[in-house]
Amino acid sequence: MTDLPLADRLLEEAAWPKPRPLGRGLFLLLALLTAAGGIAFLALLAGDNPVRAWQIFLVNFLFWSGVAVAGVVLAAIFQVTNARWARPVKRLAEACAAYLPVSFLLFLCIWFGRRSLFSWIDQPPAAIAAWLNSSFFFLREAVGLLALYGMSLLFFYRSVRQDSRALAHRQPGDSLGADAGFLQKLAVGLLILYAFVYSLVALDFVMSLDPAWSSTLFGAYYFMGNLYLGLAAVTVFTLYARWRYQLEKTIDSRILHNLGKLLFAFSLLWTYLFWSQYLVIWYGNLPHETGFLLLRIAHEPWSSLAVVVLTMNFLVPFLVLLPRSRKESPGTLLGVALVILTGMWLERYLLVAPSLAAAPEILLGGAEALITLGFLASFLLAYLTVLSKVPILPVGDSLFWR
Amino acid sequence: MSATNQQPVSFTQITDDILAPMWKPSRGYLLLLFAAFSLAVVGGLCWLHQINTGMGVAGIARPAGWGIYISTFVFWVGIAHSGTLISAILYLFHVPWRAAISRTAEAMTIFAVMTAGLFPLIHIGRPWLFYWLIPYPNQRHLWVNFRSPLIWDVFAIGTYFTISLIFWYVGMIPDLAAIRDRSTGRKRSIYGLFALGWRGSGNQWRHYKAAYLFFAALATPLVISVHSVVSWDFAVGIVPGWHSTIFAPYFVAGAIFSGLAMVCTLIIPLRRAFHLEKYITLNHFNQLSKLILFMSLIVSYAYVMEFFIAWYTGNPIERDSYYYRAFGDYQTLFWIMTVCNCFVPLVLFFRKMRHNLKVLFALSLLINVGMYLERFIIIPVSLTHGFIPNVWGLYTPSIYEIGILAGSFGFFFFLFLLFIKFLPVLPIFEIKEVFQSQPAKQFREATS
Repeated sequence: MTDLPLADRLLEEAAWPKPRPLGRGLFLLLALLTAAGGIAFLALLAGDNPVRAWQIFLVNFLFWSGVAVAGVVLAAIFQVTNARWARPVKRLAEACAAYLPVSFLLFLCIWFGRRSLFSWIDQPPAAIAAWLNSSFFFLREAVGLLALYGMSLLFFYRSVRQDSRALAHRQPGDSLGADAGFLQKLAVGLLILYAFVYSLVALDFVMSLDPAWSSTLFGAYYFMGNLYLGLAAVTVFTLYARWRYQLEKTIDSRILHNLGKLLFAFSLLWTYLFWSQYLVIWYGNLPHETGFLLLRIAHEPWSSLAVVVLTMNFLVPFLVLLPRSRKESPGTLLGVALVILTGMWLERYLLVAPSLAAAPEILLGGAEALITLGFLASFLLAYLTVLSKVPILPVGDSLFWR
Repeated sequence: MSATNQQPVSFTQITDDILAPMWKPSRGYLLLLFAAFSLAVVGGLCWLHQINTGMGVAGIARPAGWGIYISTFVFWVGIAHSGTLISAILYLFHVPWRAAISRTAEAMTIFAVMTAGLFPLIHIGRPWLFYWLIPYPNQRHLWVNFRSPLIWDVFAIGTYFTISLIFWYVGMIPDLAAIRDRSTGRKRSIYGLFALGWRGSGNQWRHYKAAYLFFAALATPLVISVHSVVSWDFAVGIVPGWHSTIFAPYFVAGAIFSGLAMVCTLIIPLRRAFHLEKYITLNHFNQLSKLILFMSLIVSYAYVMEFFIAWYTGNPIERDSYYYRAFGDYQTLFWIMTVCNCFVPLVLFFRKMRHNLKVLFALSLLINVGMYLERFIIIPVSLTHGFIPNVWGLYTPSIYEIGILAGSFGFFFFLFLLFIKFLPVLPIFEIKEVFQSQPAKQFREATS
């Protein structure tokens, strides 16, 4: 950055990228794909195996809501830790909040699939009937998700407001009202709420699919994995914005290096948490614990899928991102991030599907592909629309200028 | 930010300030040293008595085969965590404020691992056969049981100690050279020997920086692995209260929590006694407090999750063991632990408290009490209340166990006091870097 005083640099607003409208062609394509996904879901639902439709719906709901939440949470982490390097990435991460309203609607849809998804819905296990019963289940999830989504949207809104005020007044955001201080406090609250609500999501939407199984680590494993896939998504969005808005100077190799290091660290963390859970269950060898794992690692076809998941989320990022030059190369970083996104999608599938499958087969056909594409398109539609209406860079954030 | 920090400080001044404690010990220092040494001697005598008489003098008996020796072992390994966290992980994260506290924290790590290492030896009863723990080729083809987590401990802690020691030593080389250059006679030759001919040339600095980065990268996974392995000593067993998948990350967070608290316990008096306010500023404590608060939240999360899942399993034994923990014979300890670890640290949400050293010092002591009790509650208390009611029992440490526990504190503080006298308590050159570098200054201004 130049040495000009902050106010002068803000005056040079014209030098900063203006948000560009979403192209009509792209909009149509995404809308069409979303509609196709919806139709494929309804068709599958009307078929003879509605569980199959709800299963792929749940996996995609968990994955794409996860991206939306993790984007905001990563921005909150940057905020709390005063991460100067990450300031150019902050807006691209927090704009994931665009999908949160959609995600809440999708959550409400799960009500209709509850009988297909949750084996305990009609006969809750006697010992924990106070916890696993459908009214309390949907009540706590609705309250938890509303609180988390509301807080995330507020965070995004106040962060954007800080920018628009700064641009309007030609002054750094923290001198205008309490946005910066508020964001800092809100971010702390958001992180705590995230750990709590996402543990609940993990316990309710994944662990309860197999009500006999439980693990104390599962909540943390799930929400850290969610941050991992969110980080991969943010990396992809960063590279996209860097290309589309010619931000090579602002999003420089240092930022790419840092994103690469974080992806590397998260891949190790994810593997560590997986291993911590696996080792304890394997060594203890108690039947009510091993069932969940054995199904996934000792029975085909799930065991092959498990190897694929481990390769894509651990081996590939670990080996590829080891040298510094690869972390700084946009092409390699994009490739690894996409591998991780796919790998983590498969991981979420592996967590959900075996608990629901009537027969040991991986049901990933054309319909599933269309539904997943539909979710992807709907996410991009929401994300890109919002991104085309807000500043791409957090120009009102004073740490952005340091 | 204290006003002193704004005054220009010359590099010579920095070196003088930091090396000041090394020249002439005060009476207070000698008194403390004597007290710590005496305490260590008491512990040593208790151990001698135990070796002489047999393990019967300790309170460990069925059903609690692991008592406070193992709890204390875990406690000290936990204390050892913050040093490498601060010098390796925070280094990788480019955290500028770590410099001022890194040396003390690393020294603490070394001494805490040394103290911890005594406890398995005390616990095995026949310490002269300690080498049975180490796998080596032998005529009878007897090997250790590699499937035993206790052997994983030998490896994990051995590696951690080695890397921490090297890391600490490498970080000290430029400072040892600085001491050499300011002393004469035999002292000069001793420090000169350990300074490895450091002259501070550009080439030396380049190699030094590269080596430091690699050590930091290698030490980082160790911070995580050591306490994970320690946690598996318990978690892989099927004892109710032990067998829990969250143990590894939860133990790591708890270890960092207690380690950071111990850093505060040591640094707050140290800063005052040697007038280091210029280098260890209130901002350092602010940042340390935030880390402590973060770790406290993780630990609280783990407590809640453990209780909830114990209930969720629907398993009567699992449920009962957690009920016993909170409302059984040891309930007082449990509630003291919960207050110290989960509730008291919440005051750190307030900025004023993070800048109040008296509060912070008191808090750090409470956290250490809380974390010690946590280990006690997990280890012997779980054992006293296992699967079969007719082998339930109570565990009370004997006077000799308490003596050895007290001795371990004496041993630790004795070593630490020697460190203050003989080695620089702050990394001189890193402090100089921080005082010079622009971003760090801006950071201090931004966050103070």
